[in-house]
Amino acid sequence: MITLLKIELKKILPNKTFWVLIGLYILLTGFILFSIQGIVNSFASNVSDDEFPDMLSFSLYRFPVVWHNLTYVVGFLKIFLAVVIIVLVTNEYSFKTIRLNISSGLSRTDFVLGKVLLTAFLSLLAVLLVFISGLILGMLNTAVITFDGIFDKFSFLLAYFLEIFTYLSFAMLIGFLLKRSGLSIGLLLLYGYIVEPIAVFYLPDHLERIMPLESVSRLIGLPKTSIMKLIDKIDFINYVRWEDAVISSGYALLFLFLVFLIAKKRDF
Amino acid sequence: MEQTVLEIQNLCKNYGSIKAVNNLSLKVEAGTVYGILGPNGSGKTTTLGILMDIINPDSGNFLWFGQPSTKFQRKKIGAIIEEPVFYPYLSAIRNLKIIADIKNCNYSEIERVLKLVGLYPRRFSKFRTFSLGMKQRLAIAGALLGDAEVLILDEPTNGLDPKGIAEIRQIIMEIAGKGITIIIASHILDEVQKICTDVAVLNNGRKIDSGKVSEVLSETLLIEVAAPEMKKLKAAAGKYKSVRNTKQEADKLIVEFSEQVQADDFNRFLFSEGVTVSHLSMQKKSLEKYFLEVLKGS
Ligand SMILES: Nc1ncnc2c1ncn2[C@@H]1O[C@H](COP(=O)(O)OP(=O)(O)OP(=O)(O)O)[C@@H](O)[C@H]1O
Ligand SMILES: [Mg+2]
Repeated sequence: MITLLKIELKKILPNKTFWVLIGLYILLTGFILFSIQGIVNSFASNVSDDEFPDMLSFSLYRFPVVWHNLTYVVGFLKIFLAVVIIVLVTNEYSFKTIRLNISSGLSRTDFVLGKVLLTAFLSLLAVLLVFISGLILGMLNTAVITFDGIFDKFSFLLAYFLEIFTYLSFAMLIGFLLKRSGLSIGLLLLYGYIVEPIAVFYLPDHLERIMPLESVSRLIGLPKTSIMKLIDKIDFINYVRWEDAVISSGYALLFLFLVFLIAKKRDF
Repeated sequence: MEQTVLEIQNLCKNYGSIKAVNNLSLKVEAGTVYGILGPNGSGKTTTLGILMDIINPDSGNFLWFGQPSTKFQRKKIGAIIEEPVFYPYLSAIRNLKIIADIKNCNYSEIERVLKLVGLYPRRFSKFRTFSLGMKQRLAIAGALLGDAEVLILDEPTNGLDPKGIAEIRQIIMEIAGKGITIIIASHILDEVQKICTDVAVLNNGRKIDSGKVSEVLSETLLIEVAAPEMKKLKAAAGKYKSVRNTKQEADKLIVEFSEQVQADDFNRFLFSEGVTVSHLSMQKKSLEKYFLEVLKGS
Protein backbone atom coordinates (compact mmCIF):
# COMPACT_ATOMS: atom_id res chain seq x y z
CA MET A 1 0.00 0.00 0.00
CA ILE A 2 2.71 2.44 1.03
CA THR A 3 4.70 1.47 -2.06
CA LEU A 4 1.70 2.17 -4.27
CA LEU A 5 1.25 5.63 -2.78
CA LYS A 6 5.00 6.29 -3.11
CA ILE A 7 4.85 5.34 -6.77
CA GLU A 8 1.93 7.71 -7.33
CA LEU A 9 3.77 10.54 -5.60
CA LYS A 10 6.89 9.91 -7.67
CA LYS A 11 4.80 10.25 -10.79
CA ILE A 12 3.30 13.60 -9.83
CA LEU A 13 5.67 15.50 -7.60
CA PRO A 14 7.87 16.66 -10.51
CA ASN A 15 4.76 17.57 -12.53
CA LYS A 16 4.28 21.33 -13.03
CA THR A 17 0.54 21.17 -13.68
CA PHE A 18 0.14 19.39 -10.37
CA TRP A 19 2.00 22.08 -8.47
CA VAL A 20 0.16 24.93 -10.18
CA LEU A 21 -3.22 23.44 -9.24
CA ILE A 22 -2.21 22.45 -5.72
CA GLY A 23 -0.48 25.80 -5.14
CA LEU A 24 -3.58 27.64 -6.30
CA TYR A 25 -5.73 25.47 -4.05
CA ILE A 26 -3.59 26.09 -0.98
CA LEU A 27 -3.34 29.83 -1.61
CA LEU A 28 -7.06 30.27 -2.19
CA THR A 29 -7.95 28.11 0.80
CA GLY A 30 -5.62 30.05 3.06
CA PHE A 31 -6.81 33.37 1.74
CA ILE A 32 -10.49 32.56 2.20
CA LEU A 33 -10.04 31.00 5.62
CA PHE A 34 -8.12 33.94 7.00
CA SER A 35 -10.22 36.68 5.43
CA ILE A 36 -13.74 35.28 5.61
CA GLN A 37 -14.56 36.80 8.98
CA GLY A 38 -13.67 40.26 7.78
CA ILE A 39 -15.68 39.78 4.58
CA VAL A 40 -18.75 38.39 6.30
CA ASN A 41 -18.80 40.95 9.08
CA SER A 42 -18.21 43.95 6.85
CA PHE A 43 -20.96 42.69 4.55
CA ALA A 44 -23.30 42.14 7.49
CA SER A 45 -22.56 45.55 8.98
CA ASN A 46 -22.98 47.31 5.64
CA VAL A 47 -26.41 45.84 5.11
CA SER A 48 -27.80 46.88 8.47
CA ASP A 49 -25.92 48.68 11.19
CA ASP A 50 -28.68 48.36 13.72
CA GLU A 51 -28.42 45.58 16.27
CA PHE A 52 -24.98 44.64 14.95
CA PRO A 53 -23.96 41.74 17.10
CA ASP A 54 -21.07 41.81 19.43
CA MET A 55 -18.10 40.84 17.28
CA LEU A 56 -16.52 38.45 19.67
CA SER A 57 -19.61 36.50 20.58
CA PHE A 58 -20.32 36.04 16.89
CA SER A 59 -16.77 35.36 15.75
CA LEU A 60 -16.64 32.79 12.97
CA TYR A 61 -13.35 31.63 14.39
CA ARG A 62 -14.49 30.71 17.89
CA PHE A 63 -13.91 27.15 19.08
CA PRO A 64 -15.79 24.95 18.44
CA VAL A 65 -17.89 26.58 15.65
CA VAL A 66 -14.68 27.38 13.78
CA TRP A 67 -14.66 23.81 12.41
CA HIS A 68 -18.14 24.13 11.03
CA ASN A 69 -17.60 27.59 9.58
CA LEU A 70 -14.25 26.89 7.97
CA THR A 71 -15.18 23.55 6.44
CA TYR A 72 -18.35 25.09 5.08
CA VAL A 73 -16.71 28.08 3.49
CA VAL A 74 -13.85 26.38 1.61
CA GLY A 75 -15.73 23.26 0.55
CA PHE A 76 -16.35 24.61 -2.94
CA LEU A 77 -12.60 24.75 -3.65
CA LYS A 78 -12.52 20.96 -3.91
CA ILE A 79 -13.07 21.44 -7.63
CA PHE A 80 -9.33 22.20 -7.89
CA LEU A 81 -8.48 18.86 -6.34
CA ALA A 82 -11.01 17.18 -8.61
CA VAL A 83 -9.24 18.69 -11.62
CA VAL A 84 -5.93 17.38 -10.24
CA ILE A 85 -7.38 13.88 -9.97
CA ILE A 86 -8.90 14.04 -13.44
CA VAL A 87 -5.66 15.26 -14.99
CA LEU A 88 -3.65 12.53 -13.25
CA VAL A 89 -6.03 9.78 -14.30
CA THR A 90 -6.50 10.93 -17.89
CA ASN A 91 -2.75 11.51 -18.27
CA GLU A 92 -2.25 7.80 -17.67
CA TYR A 93 -4.48 7.20 -20.66
CA SER A 94 -3.12 9.89 -22.96
CA PHE A 95 0.51 9.00 -22.21
CA LYS A 96 -0.52 5.30 -22.34
CA THR A 97 1.41 4.87 -19.11
CA ILE A 98 -1.28 2.53 -17.76
CA ARG A 99 0.37 0.01 -20.07
CA LEU A 100 3.74 0.73 -18.54
CA ASN A 101 2.38 0.26 -15.02
CA ILE A 102 0.59 -2.99 -15.72
CA SER A 103 3.17 -4.56 -17.98
CA SER A 104 5.86 -3.73 -15.41
CA GLY A 105 4.01 -5.74 -12.81
CA LEU A 106 1.15 -3.86 -11.16
CA SER A 107 -2.17 -5.65 -11.23
CA ARG A 108 -5.10 -3.68 -12.56
CA THR A 109 -6.39 -3.51 -8.99
CA ASP A 110 -3.04 -2.18 -7.76
CA PHE A 111 -3.16 0.52 -10.37
CA VAL A 112 -6.56 1.77 -9.24
CA LEU A 113 -5.65 1.31 -5.58
CA GLY A 114 -2.70 3.67 -6.10
CA LYS A 115 -5.09 6.30 -7.41
CA VAL A 116 -7.53 5.73 -4.54
CA LEU A 117 -4.71 6.14 -2.03
CA LEU A 118 -3.69 9.34 -3.77
CA THR A 119 -7.28 10.57 -3.54
CA ALA A 120 -7.32 9.83 0.18
CA PHE A 121 -3.95 11.56 0.48
CA LEU A 122 -5.21 14.75 -1.20
CA SER A 123 -8.37 14.66 0.94
CA LEU A 124 -6.21 14.42 4.05
CA LEU A 125 -4.15 17.32 2.80
CA ALA A 126 -7.31 19.41 2.46
CA VAL A 127 -8.42 18.45 5.98
CA LEU A 128 -4.98 19.24 7.35
CA LEU A 129 -5.09 22.67 5.76
CA VAL A 130 -8.37 23.48 7.48
CA PHE A 131 -7.22 21.86 10.71
CA ILE A 132 -4.07 23.97 10.97
CA SER A 133 -5.85 27.17 9.98
CA GLY A 134 -8.71 26.41 12.40
CA LEU A 135 -6.30 25.76 15.23
CA ILE A 136 -4.48 29.05 14.65
CA LEU A 137 -7.64 31.10 14.14
CA GLY A 138 -9.43 29.42 17.04
CA MET A 139 -6.54 30.09 19.41
CA LEU A 140 -6.49 33.74 18.42
CA ASN A 141 -10.23 34.27 18.63
CA THR A 142 -11.52 32.22 21.50
CA ALA A 143 -11.64 33.89 24.91
CA VAL A 144 -11.51 30.77 27.05
CA ILE A 145 -9.76 27.80 25.49
CA THR A 146 -10.51 24.34 26.83
CA PHE A 147 -9.65 20.95 25.41
CA ASP A 148 -13.32 20.07 25.04
CA GLY A 149 -13.97 23.44 23.48
CA ILE A 150 -11.48 22.68 20.73
CA PHE A 151 -12.53 19.17 19.92
CA ASP A 152 -16.26 19.48 20.27
CA LYS A 153 -17.63 19.66 16.68
CA PHE A 154 -14.58 17.87 15.41
CA SER A 155 -17.01 15.72 13.45
CA PHE A 156 -17.06 18.51 10.88
CA LEU A 157 -13.47 17.70 9.97
CA LEU A 158 -14.41 14.05 9.44
CA ALA A 159 -17.39 15.14 7.38
CA TYR A 160 -15.08 17.42 5.42
CA PHE A 161 -12.80 14.49 4.64
CA LEU A 162 -15.78 12.47 3.45
CA GLU A 163 -17.09 15.39 1.40
CA ILE A 164 -13.80 15.75 -0.46
CA PHE A 165 -13.06 12.05 -0.76
CA THR A 166 -16.49 11.28 -2.22
CA TYR A 167 -16.31 14.19 -4.60
CA LEU A 168 -12.82 13.21 -5.77
CA SER A 169 -13.97 9.61 -6.22
CA PHE A 170 -16.71 10.94 -8.48
CA ALA A 171 -14.13 12.93 -10.44
CA MET A 172 -11.93 9.85 -10.70
CA LEU A 173 -14.82 7.79 -12.06
CA ILE A 174 -15.47 10.42 -14.73
CA GLY A 175 -11.77 10.46 -15.61
CA PHE A 176 -11.64 6.69 -15.98
CA LEU A 177 -14.85 6.68 -18.00
CA LEU A 178 -13.98 9.41 -20.48
CA LYS A 179 -10.16 9.08 -20.56
CA ARG A 180 -9.77 12.67 -21.77
CA SER A 181 -9.11 15.53 -19.40
CA GLY A 182 -11.04 18.28 -21.18
CA LEU A 183 -14.15 16.17 -21.61
CA SER A 184 -13.99 14.91 -18.04
CA ILE A 185 -13.62 18.35 -16.50
CA GLY A 186 -16.43 19.58 -18.75
CA LEU A 187 -18.72 16.78 -17.63
CA LEU A 188 -17.87 17.32 -13.97
CA LEU A 189 -18.73 21.03 -14.23
CA LEU A 190 -21.83 20.41 -16.31
CA TYR A 191 -23.15 17.80 -13.93
CA GLY A 192 -22.11 19.51 -10.72
CA TYR A 193 -23.20 23.03 -11.54
CA ILE A 194 -26.06 22.55 -13.97
CA VAL A 195 -27.60 19.10 -14.23
CA GLU A 196 -27.76 18.16 -10.59
CA PRO A 197 -28.80 21.58 -9.29
CA ILE A 198 -31.68 21.60 -11.77
CA ALA A 199 -32.67 18.08 -10.79
CA VAL A 200 -32.44 18.99 -7.11
CA PHE A 201 -34.62 22.04 -7.72
CA TYR A 202 -37.46 19.91 -9.07
CA LEU A 203 -37.09 16.88 -6.81
CA PRO A 204 -38.94 16.51 -3.51
CA ASP A 205 -36.73 16.76 -0.47
CA HIS A 206 -36.49 13.06 0.33
CA LEU A 207 -35.17 12.37 -3.19
CA GLU A 208 -33.07 15.48 -3.35
CA ARG A 209 -30.92 14.41 -0.45
CA ILE A 210 -29.92 11.15 -2.09
CA MET A 211 -28.54 12.79 -5.24
CA PRO A 212 -24.78 12.15 -5.25
CA LEU A 213 -23.31 15.63 -5.11
CA GLU A 214 -26.21 17.04 -3.14
CA SER A 215 -25.65 14.41 -0.46
CA VAL A 216 -22.02 15.43 -0.38
CA SER A 217 -22.80 19.11 0.01
CA ARG A 218 -25.37 18.41 2.72
CA LEU A 219 -22.73 16.87 4.93
CA ILE A 220 -21.79 20.33 6.14
CA GLY A 221 -24.86 22.53 6.35
CA LEU A 222 -25.13 26.30 6.35
CA PRO A 223 -23.71 27.61 9.63
CA LYS A 224 -25.41 30.31 11.69
CA THR A 225 -23.31 33.45 11.58
CA SER A 226 -23.75 37.19 11.84
CA ILE A 227 -24.74 37.45 8.20
CA MET A 228 -27.52 34.90 8.59
CA LYS A 229 -29.80 37.32 10.30
CA LEU A 230 -30.46 38.60 6.78
CA ILE A 231 -32.07 35.35 5.83
CA ASP A 232 -35.17 34.32 7.70
CA LYS A 233 -36.64 30.98 8.37
CA ILE A 234 -33.72 28.66 7.86
CA ASP A 235 -33.29 25.62 10.02
CA PHE A 236 -29.66 25.72 10.94
CA ILE A 237 -28.13 22.37 11.65
CA ASN A 238 -25.06 22.65 13.77
CA TYR A 239 -24.04 18.99 13.64
CA VAL A 240 -23.30 16.35 10.99
CA ARG A 241 -26.28 14.10 10.34
CA TRP A 242 -25.32 10.48 10.20
CA GLU A 243 -27.80 9.80 7.34
CA ASP A 244 -25.88 12.20 5.14
CA ALA A 245 -22.62 10.56 6.11
CA VAL A 246 -24.02 7.13 5.25
CA ILE A 247 -25.33 8.27 1.88
CA SER A 248 -22.04 9.96 0.96
CA SER A 249 -19.97 6.99 2.06
CA GLY A 250 -22.25 4.76 0.02
CA TYR A 251 -21.61 6.90 -3.05
CA ALA A 252 -17.86 6.89 -2.47
CA LEU A 253 -17.92 3.09 -2.33
CA LEU A 254 -20.09 2.90 -5.43
CA PHE A 255 -17.84 5.23 -7.44
CA LEU A 256 -14.72 3.35 -6.43
CA PHE A 257 -16.35 0.01 -7.15
CA LEU A 258 -17.21 1.23 -10.65
CA VAL A 259 -13.64 2.40 -11.20
CA PHE A 260 -12.30 -1.02 -10.18
CA LEU A 261 -14.83 -2.63 -12.49
CA ILE A 262 -13.81 -0.45 -15.43
CA ALA A 263 -10.15 -1.24 -14.82
CA LYS A 264 -10.91 -4.95 -14.68
CA LYS A 265 -12.92 -5.07 -17.90
CA ARG A 266 -11.21 -2.57 -20.11
CA ASP A 267 -8.49 -3.02 -22.72
CA PHE A 268 -5.76 -0.43 -22.29
CA MET B 1 16.48 -29.75 -20.56
CA GLU B 2 14.64 -27.12 -22.52
CA GLN B 3 12.22 -25.19 -20.44
CA THR B 4 9.04 -23.75 -21.88
CA VAL B 5 8.88 -20.05 -21.11
CA LEU B 6 5.55 -19.33 -22.71
CA GLU B 7 2.74 -21.46 -23.96
CA ILE B 8 -0.28 -19.93 -25.66
CA GLN B 9 -3.35 -22.12 -26.09
CA ASN B 10 -6.21 -21.30 -28.46
CA LEU B 11 -6.11 -17.59 -27.81
CA CYS B 12 -8.92 -15.50 -29.37
CA LYS B 13 -9.70 -11.81 -29.39
CA ASN B 14 -12.35 -10.15 -31.53
CA TYR B 15 -12.98 -6.50 -32.10
CA GLY B 16 -16.52 -6.53 -33.40
CA SER B 17 -16.36 -8.66 -36.51
CA ILE B 18 -12.58 -8.39 -36.76
CA LYS B 19 -10.79 -11.47 -35.52
CA ALA B 20 -7.65 -9.78 -34.24
CA VAL B 21 -6.32 -13.01 -32.73
CA ASN B 22 -7.84 -16.20 -34.04
CA ASN B 23 -7.28 -19.44 -32.15
CA LEU B 24 -3.57 -18.85 -31.71
CA SER B 25 -1.40 -21.48 -30.07
CA LEU B 26 2.37 -21.44 -29.77
CA LYS B 27 5.24 -22.35 -27.52
CA VAL B 28 8.39 -20.40 -26.73
CA GLU B 29 11.35 -22.29 -25.30
CA ALA B 30 13.90 -20.74 -22.97
CA GLY B 31 16.87 -19.07 -24.60
CA THR B 32 15.31 -18.61 -28.01
CA VAL B 33 14.79 -15.41 -29.91
CA TYR B 34 11.23 -15.93 -30.99
CA GLY B 35 9.88 -13.88 -33.84
CA ILE B 36 6.21 -13.19 -34.37
CA LEU B 37 6.12 -12.24 -38.00
CA GLY B 38 3.08 -10.81 -39.71
CA PRO B 39 1.89 -7.92 -41.83
CA ASN B 40 0.20 -4.83 -40.38
CA GLY B 41 -3.00 -5.72 -38.60
CA SER B 42 -2.17 -9.42 -38.27
CA GLY B 43 -2.65 -9.37 -34.50
CA LYS B 44 0.91 -9.14 -33.19
CA THR B 45 0.36 -6.22 -30.85
CA THR B 46 -2.97 -7.61 -29.69
CA THR B 47 -1.31 -10.93 -28.83
CA LEU B 48 1.52 -9.27 -26.90
CA GLY B 49 -1.00 -7.00 -25.13
CA ILE B 50 -2.93 -10.03 -23.95
CA LEU B 51 0.27 -11.65 -22.68
CA MET B 52 0.93 -8.60 -20.49
CA ASP B 53 -2.67 -8.23 -19.21
CA ILE B 54 -3.15 -4.97 -21.06
CA ILE B 55 -5.85 -6.54 -23.22
CA ASN B 56 -8.43 -9.07 -22.03
CA PRO B 57 -8.70 -12.10 -24.33
CA ASP B 58 -12.14 -13.41 -25.33
CA SER B 59 -11.09 -17.02 -24.87
CA GLY B 60 -8.07 -19.27 -24.66
CA ASN B 61 -5.25 -18.96 -22.20
CA PHE B 62 -1.53 -18.72 -21.80
CA LEU B 63 1.02 -19.94 -19.32
CA TRP B 64 4.21 -18.15 -18.34
CA PHE B 65 6.79 -20.60 -17.00
CA GLY B 66 4.04 -23.21 -16.90
CA GLN B 67 1.81 -21.13 -14.63
CA PRO B 68 -1.27 -18.99 -15.24
CA SER B 69 -0.33 -15.32 -15.54
CA THR B 70 0.07 -13.11 -12.46
CA LYS B 71 1.55 -9.72 -11.74
CA PHE B 72 4.52 -11.42 -10.06
CA GLN B 73 5.44 -13.10 -13.32
CA ARG B 74 5.20 -9.80 -15.16
CA LYS B 75 7.86 -8.38 -12.87
CA LYS B 76 10.23 -10.93 -14.45
CA ILE B 77 9.16 -10.04 -17.98
CA GLY B 78 10.21 -6.84 -19.67
CA ALA B 79 7.82 -5.68 -22.36
CA ILE B 80 7.55 -2.90 -24.88
CA ILE B 81 4.16 -2.99 -26.52
CA GLU B 82 3.50 -0.98 -29.67
CA GLU B 83 5.69 1.96 -28.68
CA PRO B 84 7.89 3.15 -25.82
CA VAL B 85 5.69 4.70 -23.13
CA PHE B 86 6.96 6.76 -20.23
CA TYR B 87 5.94 9.87 -18.31
CA PRO B 88 7.07 12.57 -20.74
CA TYR B 89 7.72 15.21 -18.08
CA LEU B 90 9.98 12.92 -16.03
CA SER B 91 13.68 12.37 -16.62
CA ALA B 92 14.96 9.01 -17.85
CA ILE B 93 16.18 8.13 -14.40
CA ARG B 94 12.94 9.10 -12.65
CA ASN B 95 10.96 7.01 -15.12
CA LEU B 96 13.19 4.02 -14.48
CA LYS B 97 12.85 4.50 -10.72
CA ILE B 98 9.10 4.14 -11.05
CA ILE B 99 9.55 0.87 -12.93
CA ALA B 100 12.09 -0.27 -10.36
CA ASP B 101 9.57 0.46 -7.60
CA ILE B 102 6.88 -1.52 -9.40
CA LYS B 103 9.23 -4.46 -9.94
CA ASN B 104 10.62 -4.15 -6.40
CA CYS B 105 14.17 -4.03 -7.69
CA ASN B 106 17.16 -2.11 -6.50
CA TYR B 107 17.89 1.35 -7.93
CA SER B 108 21.50 0.29 -8.42
CA GLU B 109 20.33 -1.71 -11.47
CA ILE B 110 19.30 1.49 -13.19
CA GLU B 111 22.87 2.57 -13.89
CA ARG B 112 23.68 -0.83 -15.39
CA VAL B 113 20.74 -0.88 -17.82
CA LEU B 114 21.23 2.76 -18.81
CA LYS B 115 24.84 2.03 -19.67
CA LEU B 116 23.85 -1.09 -21.59
CA VAL B 117 21.62 0.93 -23.92
CA GLY B 118 24.03 3.86 -24.04
CA LEU B 119 21.78 6.41 -22.36
CA TYR B 120 23.70 6.92 -19.15
CA PRO B 121 24.99 10.37 -20.16
CA ARG B 122 21.40 11.47 -20.87
CA ARG B 123 19.88 10.08 -17.69
CA PHE B 124 18.72 13.48 -16.41
CA SER B 125 17.01 14.51 -19.65
CA LYS B 126 13.25 14.44 -19.78
CA PHE B 127 11.72 11.59 -21.77
CA ARG B 128 9.86 14.16 -23.89
CA THR B 129 13.16 15.49 -25.22
CA PHE B 130 14.37 12.10 -26.46
CA SER B 131 14.59 11.12 -30.12
CA LEU B 132 12.64 8.06 -31.23
CA GLY B 133 15.75 5.90 -31.12
CA MET B 134 16.57 7.07 -27.61
CA LYS B 135 12.99 6.41 -26.49
CA GLN B 136 13.23 2.89 -27.88
CA ARG B 137 16.52 2.36 -26.06
CA LEU B 138 15.13 3.71 -22.79
CA ALA B 139 12.20 1.34 -23.15
CA ILE B 140 14.61 -1.57 -23.54
CA ALA B 141 16.47 -0.38 -20.44
CA GLY B 142 13.19 -0.28 -18.51
CA ALA B 143 12.24 -3.72 -19.75
CA LEU B 144 15.54 -5.15 -18.52
CA LEU B 145 15.10 -3.92 -14.95
CA GLY B 146 14.44 -6.52 -12.31
CA ASP B 147 16.67 -9.12 -13.97
CA ALA B 148 14.10 -9.83 -16.63
CA GLU B 149 14.16 -13.41 -17.85
CA VAL B 150 12.06 -12.61 -20.88
CA LEU B 151 12.00 -9.57 -23.09
CA ILE B 152 9.01 -8.75 -25.28
CA LEU B 153 9.68 -6.27 -28.05
CA ASP B 154 7.00 -5.01 -30.42
CA GLU B 155 8.52 -3.70 -33.64
CA PRO B 156 11.56 -2.32 -31.83
CA THR B 157 13.10 -0.85 -34.95
CA ASN B 158 9.96 0.74 -36.31
CA GLY B 159 10.56 4.27 -37.51
CA LEU B 160 14.31 4.25 -36.94
CA ASP B 161 16.95 5.18 -39.46
CA PRO B 162 19.46 2.53 -40.62
CA LYS B 163 21.95 3.50 -37.94
CA GLY B 164 19.30 3.37 -35.24
CA ILE B 165 18.11 0.01 -36.52
CA ALA B 166 21.65 -1.36 -36.42
CA GLU B 167 22.13 -0.08 -32.85
CA ILE B 168 18.91 -1.59 -31.57
CA ARG B 169 19.67 -4.92 -33.24
CA GLN B 170 23.12 -4.84 -31.70
CA ILE B 171 21.57 -4.35 -28.25
CA ILE B 172 19.06 -7.15 -28.83
CA MET B 173 21.81 -9.56 -29.88
CA GLU B 174 23.81 -8.62 -26.80
CA ILE B 175 20.82 -9.30 -24.54
CA ALA B 176 20.07 -12.57 -26.29
CA GLY B 177 23.72 -13.54 -25.75
CA LYS B 178 23.08 -13.39 -22.00
CA GLY B 179 20.53 -16.14 -22.27
CA ILE B 180 17.46 -13.94 -21.94
CA THR B 181 14.54 -15.24 -23.95
CA ILE B 182 13.35 -12.65 -26.44
CA ILE B 183 9.96 -12.48 -28.12
CA ILE B 184 9.94 -10.01 -30.92
CA ALA B 185 7.06 -8.91 -33.12
CA SER B 186 7.93 -7.65 -36.54
CA HIS B 187 6.50 -7.16 -39.99
CA ILE B 188 9.97 -7.23 -41.51
CA LEU B 189 10.98 -10.61 -42.89
CA ASP B 190 14.61 -9.66 -43.11
CA GLU B 191 14.70 -8.58 -39.47
CA VAL B 192 13.28 -11.87 -38.24
CA GLN B 193 15.68 -13.80 -40.45
CA LYS B 194 18.61 -11.85 -39.04
CA ILE B 195 17.90 -11.97 -35.32
CA CYS B 196 15.44 -14.74 -34.53
CA THR B 197 16.02 -18.43 -33.96
CA ASP B 198 12.34 -19.40 -34.05
CA VAL B 199 9.34 -17.85 -35.69
CA ALA B 200 5.56 -17.96 -35.83
CA VAL B 201 3.98 -16.39 -38.87
CA LEU B 202 0.65 -14.64 -38.35
CA ASN B 203 -1.90 -13.49 -40.83
CA ASN B 204 -5.32 -12.14 -39.91
CA GLY B 205 -4.82 -13.29 -36.36
CA ARG B 206 -4.06 -16.87 -37.37
CA LYS B 207 -0.81 -18.73 -37.12
CA ILE B 208 -0.04 -19.91 -40.61
CA ASP B 209 3.34 -21.45 -39.89
CA SER B 210 5.90 -21.82 -37.15
CA GLY B 211 9.21 -23.47 -36.38
CA LYS B 212 12.91 -22.81 -36.66
CA VAL B 213 13.69 -19.75 -38.73
CA SER B 214 16.11 -21.79 -40.83
CA GLU B 215 13.26 -24.06 -41.87
CA VAL B 216 10.24 -21.82 -42.00
CA LEU B 217 11.85 -18.89 -43.73
CA SER B 218 14.40 -20.64 -45.90
CA GLU B 219 14.28 -20.23 -49.64
CA THR B 220 12.78 -23.63 -50.32
CA LEU B 221 11.00 -24.80 -53.35
CA LEU B 222 7.62 -26.43 -53.57
CA ILE B 223 6.27 -28.61 -56.32
CA GLU B 224 2.61 -29.32 -56.51
CA VAL B 225 1.82 -32.68 -58.09
CA ALA B 226 -1.27 -34.78 -58.63
CA ALA B 227 -1.74 -38.27 -59.99
CA PRO B 228 -4.63 -40.71 -60.24
CA GLU B 229 -3.04 -42.85 -57.55
CA MET B 230 -2.13 -40.44 -54.80
CA LYS B 231 -0.79 -43.05 -52.36
CA LYS B 232 1.65 -44.37 -54.89
CA LEU B 233 2.63 -40.84 -55.81
CA LYS B 234 3.39 -39.97 -52.22
CA ALA B 235 5.55 -43.05 -51.71
CA ALA B 236 7.46 -42.38 -54.90
CA ALA B 237 8.01 -38.68 -54.21
CA GLY B 238 9.42 -39.50 -50.78
CA LYS B 239 12.26 -41.38 -52.42
CA TYR B 240 13.49 -38.45 -54.48
CA LYS B 241 16.72 -36.74 -53.39
CA SER B 242 16.48 -33.62 -51.19
CA VAL B 243 12.78 -33.96 -50.49
CA ARG B 244 12.21 -32.54 -47.05
CA ASN B 245 8.54 -32.94 -46.63
CA THR B 246 5.43 -34.09 -48.46
CA LYS B 247 1.99 -32.95 -47.58
CA GLN B 248 -1.36 -33.84 -49.05
CA GLU B 249 -3.63 -30.90 -49.67
CA ALA B 250 -7.04 -31.66 -51.15
CA ASP B 251 -6.34 -33.70 -54.28
CA LYS B 252 -2.76 -32.48 -54.61
CA LEU B 253 0.54 -33.38 -53.06
CA ILE B 254 2.82 -30.57 -51.97
CA VAL B 255 6.46 -31.61 -52.07
CA GLU B 256 8.99 -29.47 -50.29
CA PHE B 257 12.67 -29.56 -51.28
CA SER B 258 15.66 -28.44 -49.33
CA GLU B 259 17.50 -27.39 -52.49
CA GLN B 260 16.87 -26.31 -56.02
CA VAL B 261 15.50 -29.06 -58.28
CA GLN B 262 14.41 -29.27 -61.88
CA ALA B 263 10.74 -30.02 -62.42
CA ASP B 264 11.37 -32.17 -65.50
CA ASP B 265 13.93 -34.21 -63.58
CA PHE B 266 11.46 -34.79 -60.76
CA ASN B 267 8.75 -35.75 -63.28
CA ARG B 268 11.06 -38.22 -65.00
CA PHE B 269 11.92 -39.72 -61.62
CA LEU B 270 8.27 -40.20 -60.74
CA PHE B 271 7.62 -41.78 -64.14
CA SER B 272 10.49 -44.20 -63.57
CA GLU B 273 8.82 -45.12 -60.29
CA GLY B 274 5.67 -45.97 -62.22
CA VAL B 275 3.65 -42.87 -61.45
CA THR B 276 2.01 -40.91 -64.20
CA VAL B 277 1.58 -37.34 -63.19
CA SER B 278 -1.67 -35.59 -64.11
CA HIS B 279 -0.65 -32.20 -62.77
CA LEU B 280 2.67 -30.65 -61.88
CA SER B 281 3.47 -27.06 -61.07
CA MET B 282 6.43 -25.39 -59.47
CA GLN B 283 6.07 -22.67 -56.94
CA LYS B 284 7.92 -20.89 -54.23
CA LYS B 285 6.82 -21.84 -50.80
CA SER B 286 3.35 -20.34 -50.34
CA LEU B 287 4.42 -18.43 -47.28
CA GLU B 288 7.34 -16.98 -49.14
CA LYS B 289 5.16 -15.95 -52.01
CA TYR B 290 2.88 -14.16 -49.63
CA PHE B 291 5.55 -12.41 -47.66
CA LEU B 292 7.73 -11.55 -50.56
CA GLU B 293 4.84 -9.51 -51.82
CA VAL B 294 3.52 -8.14 -48.56
CA LEU B 295 6.61 -7.82 -46.46
CA LYS B 296 9.62 -7.28 -48.63
CA GLY B 297 8.29 -3.96 -49.77
CA SER B 298 8.43 -2.58 -46.24
N1 LIG C 1 -8.75 -1.24 -29.89
C1 LIG C 1 -9.10 -1.79 -31.07
N2 LIG C 1 -10.36 -1.62 -31.53
C2 LIG C 1 -10.74 -2.17 -32.69
N3 LIG C 1 -9.93 -2.89 -33.47
C3 LIG C 1 -8.67 -3.10 -33.08
C4 LIG C 1 -8.20 -2.56 -31.86
N4 LIG C 1 -6.90 -2.91 -31.71
C5 LIG C 1 -6.59 -3.64 -32.80
N5 LIG C 1 -7.65 -3.76 -33.62
C6 LIG C 1 -7.69 -4.52 -34.87
O1 LIG C 1 -7.16 -5.79 -34.63
C7 LIG C 1 -6.34 -6.21 -35.72
C8 LIG C 1 -4.97 -6.57 -35.20
O2 LIG C 1 -4.30 -5.42 -34.78
P1 LIG C 1 -2.85 -5.43 -34.15
O3 LIG C 1 -2.56 -4.07 -33.67
O4 LIG C 1 -2.76 -6.53 -33.18
O5 LIG C 1 -1.96 -5.77 -35.41
P2 LIG C 1 -0.39 -5.77 -35.55
O6 LIG C 1 -0.03 -7.08 -36.09
O7 LIG C 1 0.24 -5.33 -34.31
O8 LIG C 1 -0.19 -4.69 -36.68
P3 LIG C 1 0.99 -3.61 -36.90
O9 LIG C 1 2.07 -4.32 -37.65
O10 LIG C 1 0.33 -2.59 -37.74
O11 LIG C 1 1.41 -3.11 -35.58
C9 LIG C 1 -6.36 -5.08 -36.73
O12 LIG C 1 -7.30 -5.39 -37.70
C10 LIG C 1 -6.82 -3.89 -35.93
O13 LIG C 1 -7.56 -3.02 -36.74
MG1 LIG D 1 1.49 -3.69 -33.79
